[in-house]
Amino acid sequence: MVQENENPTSPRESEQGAQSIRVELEKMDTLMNLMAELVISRSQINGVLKKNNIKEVDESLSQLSRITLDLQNIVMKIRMVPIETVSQKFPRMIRDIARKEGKEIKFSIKGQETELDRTVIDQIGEPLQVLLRIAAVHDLEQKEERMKSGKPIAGTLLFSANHEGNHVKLEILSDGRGVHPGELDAAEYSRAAKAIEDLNGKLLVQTEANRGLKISVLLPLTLAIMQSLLVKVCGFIYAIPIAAIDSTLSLPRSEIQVVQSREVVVIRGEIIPVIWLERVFHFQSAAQKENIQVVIVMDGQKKYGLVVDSLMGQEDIVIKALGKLFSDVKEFSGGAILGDGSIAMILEIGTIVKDM
Amino acid sequence: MVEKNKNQQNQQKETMVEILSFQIGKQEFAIDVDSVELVIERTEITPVPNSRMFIEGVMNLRGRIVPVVDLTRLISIEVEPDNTFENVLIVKQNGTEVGFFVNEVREVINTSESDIDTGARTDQYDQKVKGIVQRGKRLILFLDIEEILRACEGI
Repeated sequence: MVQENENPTSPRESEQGAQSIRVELEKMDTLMNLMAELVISRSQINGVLKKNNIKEVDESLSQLSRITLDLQNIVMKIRMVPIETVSQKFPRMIRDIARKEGKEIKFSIKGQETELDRTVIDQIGEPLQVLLRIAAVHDLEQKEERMKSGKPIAGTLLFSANHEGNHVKLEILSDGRGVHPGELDAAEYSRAAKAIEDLNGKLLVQTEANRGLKISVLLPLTLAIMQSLLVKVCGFIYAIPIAAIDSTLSLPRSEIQVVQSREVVVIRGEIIPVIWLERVFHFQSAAQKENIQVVIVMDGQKKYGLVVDSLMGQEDIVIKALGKLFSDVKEFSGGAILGDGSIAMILEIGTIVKDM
Repeated sequence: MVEKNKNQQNQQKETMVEILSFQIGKQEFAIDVDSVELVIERTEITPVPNSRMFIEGVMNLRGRIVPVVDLTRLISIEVEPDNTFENVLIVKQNGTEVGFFVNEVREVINTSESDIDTGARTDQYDQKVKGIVQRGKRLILFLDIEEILRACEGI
């Protein structure tokens, strides 16, 4: 006999602990794709009903929306795995480096239960090993050198992971002599930086002579769904990742100034380069407007103002790869299908601001 | 019954090729039926700025984003000055889907491999043509779709 519980999940969980099953990743991907299509279909139905002003099904539809959202969340959660899957290899790697280099390294890991999407986990292991190696090999000193500079003989190296909003922040901290830029130019480092960029992540290296090294990696929780701001440029819709947006504003065109043959605007004392998306995309621009709509985006610490025709609002979009035919197009990280079936290209901010 | 048909097909397969012919501009082309997924009416196509010039853009095919290629901008094909494409031929090869603009899809032709005139290959189309199939007065260029896709990918 099965005993019915009023709340079937929680008491069972505590009795039996967390049970798990093994599922092929491919099945998960299929589930995820179906989920994405369900989200799109729902938006399509919603759009048709709104257009025809049909209200009778409003309640059922909002329930469907709720269920879809719940489903989406659960599927996302199923795909999450702890960072431990990759970080468990780190201690051994650091031990090997310490032995080979004749160093003493006190290595610790914090927050290894932090979860990330499986696809992100699969691709972040190697870049993290490269970054850790930079800290252990180039930043941390030999025992004698540490003694001379009055530091404890054992160098400390910390790898930590924690959630930060819609992102996961990974940090590598070491208290060595600091790293020279040349040591960061190695092919291995460039590959790691590229891998992080491909994951829509951000890499920040801070180093100071004799004080040590701090490497921060900011990764999106998932690659599949992204919060974005939809904008219109010459009649087409583009998606800008919310993560890259600082603010939006509308201002008179006359406020654009030209400095060293570059267009800039001054906002709260800050000089911000202006980028017209219609020019980046080689569109013929229509009428000259008196007011321009600007989306201020961040690339690292730098701000840029993207000029668009209009803002259409925030939306969670499902990212789809553009495929091999577009391997030469770096301005877009992918495409997304919107509720009405149309396609929005997703801006790759790093590339778009690069030529500025 | 079904079994028998299958056997017959297998026996024929060694020498017979099924091709789908279609019209682009003034030229009739054909590709292997196996690589054709479907033919649809042209729907809304979203441009991909800064992509190569033979790529018209992307379209939404049942929730998938599929590129659409204008072959007349990849290989030289004579078209009427007021030509517009109303149909898209969706090709699927090794999991990659690509749409090609066509004016009209004509028919599935059963031809034997020996009837494909490989000697008449033009230099102009390079490796992209496997040969020419004759149907009465019609001269149909049998395209090598793998080569075409390779050219599209630019590898």
